[in-house]
Amino acid sequence: MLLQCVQVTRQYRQKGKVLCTAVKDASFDIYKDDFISIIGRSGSGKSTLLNMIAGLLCPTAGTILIEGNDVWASDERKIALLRNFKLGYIPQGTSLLGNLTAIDNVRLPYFLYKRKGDGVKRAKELLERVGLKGYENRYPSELSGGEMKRVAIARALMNDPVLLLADEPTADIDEETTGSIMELFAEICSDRTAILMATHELENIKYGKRVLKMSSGVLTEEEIEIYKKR
Amino acid sequence: MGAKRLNVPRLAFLNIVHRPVRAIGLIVIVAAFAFVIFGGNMLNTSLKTGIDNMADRLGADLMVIPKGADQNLENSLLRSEPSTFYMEDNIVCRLALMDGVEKASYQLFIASLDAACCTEPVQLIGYDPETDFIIKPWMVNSMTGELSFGDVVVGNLVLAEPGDEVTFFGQPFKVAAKLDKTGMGFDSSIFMTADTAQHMIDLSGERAVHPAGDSQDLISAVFLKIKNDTDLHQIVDQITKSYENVEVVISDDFMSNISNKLNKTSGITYVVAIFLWIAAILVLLFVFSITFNERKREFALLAALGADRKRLTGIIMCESLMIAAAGTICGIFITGLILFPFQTLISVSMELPYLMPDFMSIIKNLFVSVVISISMGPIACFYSAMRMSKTDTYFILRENE
Repeated sequence: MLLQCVQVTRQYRQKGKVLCTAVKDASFDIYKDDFISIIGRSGSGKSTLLNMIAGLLCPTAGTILIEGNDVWASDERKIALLRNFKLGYIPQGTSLLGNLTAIDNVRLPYFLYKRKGDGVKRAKELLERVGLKGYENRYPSELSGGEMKRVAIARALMNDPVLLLADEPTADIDEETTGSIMELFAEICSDRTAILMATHELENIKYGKRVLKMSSGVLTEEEIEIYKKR
Repeated sequence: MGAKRLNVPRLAFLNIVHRPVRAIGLIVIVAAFAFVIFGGNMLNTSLKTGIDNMADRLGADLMVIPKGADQNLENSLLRSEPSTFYMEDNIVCRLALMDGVEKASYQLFIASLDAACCTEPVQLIGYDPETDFIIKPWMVNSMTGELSFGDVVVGNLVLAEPGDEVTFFGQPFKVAAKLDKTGMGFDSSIFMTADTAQHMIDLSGERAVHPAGDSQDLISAVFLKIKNDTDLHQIVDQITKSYENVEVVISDDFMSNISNKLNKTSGITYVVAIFLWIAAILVLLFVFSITFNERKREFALLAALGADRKRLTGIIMCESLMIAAAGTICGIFITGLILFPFQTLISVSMELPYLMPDFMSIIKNLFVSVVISISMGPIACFYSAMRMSKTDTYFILRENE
């Protein structure tokens, strides 16, 4: 088992008073070749759950285990190391650094900790894999929304993660590009990198293997075949 | 060829290059500060070195000059302004015989003229080789033996070298030696024995171009060394009571007046430096704070990719250090460009003894200035770094969605 969430809860409070419960007692497991879609309306708690798994938002209650290690029992540095070495994270919206070229954006996570080499070969391979061969020296301002998202995917794969977390990876992207990104995800998943993707686009579910539905903070696993038949 | 590693200094450098206008603005602020702190430090040290050197070289406890000539003496000693002031020479013997006076020696000040008769307008100083205890000790490093009749020794800033001839009142004089730099008016003066000086006065008389040209019994100042157990002020009182037309300048008072002027100059420099230091830190703090707000998402993204707070703080610190270092280098380079080639001009305009300190003192000043100037960077971005360590990555990432 790669990831185990046990009764994970996140409440937003103000002056000690609970404003809302974004995620309530969420429990599920992820295995090494899983491709899971979390669906739900905007504000249903999908991103909150994803960010708690990514070690960016501390749960109010519950446990998140990655490869048997309790994420939130670790200190800030260990969580940062976990993000860098085990997880690939694709945030919602624009996420490239404007002062770096496409290849440097992809190489960036490689250099946050001491590693050998310059990462250029791997970054070039990844850019080629996401269909951006020849775009190495372009800056984000010279790329379309879809191309930027592809660079972000390549960047998330740079350190060969065991789990890829994608928060609305196809939001604001045209249908054709969405399809190619989803096919890319399916391909990544077949390379034994598990994927957990938050999306509100039901069309994307068919590329995955399992589907979780988030509704008002409550997570339930649904039969994927129902969505595939639609 | 391998691509460059994206380490913390490289990321910081790329951030700086990506915002050139902001970077140049900040570099200019730091450079202005470095200019003031290094320039001010060098100026103060040079003045202090000049005054210390002057105190060492003055040698006399008292200077007896004609009444009202104190400004002329100051002009001659400090500002290289050729001065002419005279009194009768019979006072020398009487002063030398006074109780409590250990040594007495006279000097004759002649101002050469800016005319065809003279190489350049300088202060010509004649001294009595038999009694002199002021000038001869300086000459030890520059020449051996006594100065012959017709020979002169030139100050460090006089445009003549040993072996050259300089012309005064139509007569050539041989340069026997050149003195080390003193930082005083003496650097632009020419020294000779009293006989040579008297000859020069005679020449000027023949040509009727010099006011002292027709007198044989004139001197300009008597320098007195007082015995250790003697009350200086008592001697001063005795002289002023006995001689109506003279004035006594106490060397310590003279030096303390100059020191006071130096203290004022130093005070102003340090106040400006402290003000500029605080102002520069506030501006940098303000700019880094605004920049941090603009770049919150960028830092949050780096955090999401696995950068810990130490690394993020490192990027901010490195960036501020690079800016501070670039500004410091520019500021110190500009200071050097102004201070070293134009030290004579500065010395003249300061109207105070000005002598560049030794190499080690310059290095010490440089080190202190660099440390203070570069420290502005980390101090100014400390607040931003603190804010970042308290920022919640998740909420920043969601802010712009």
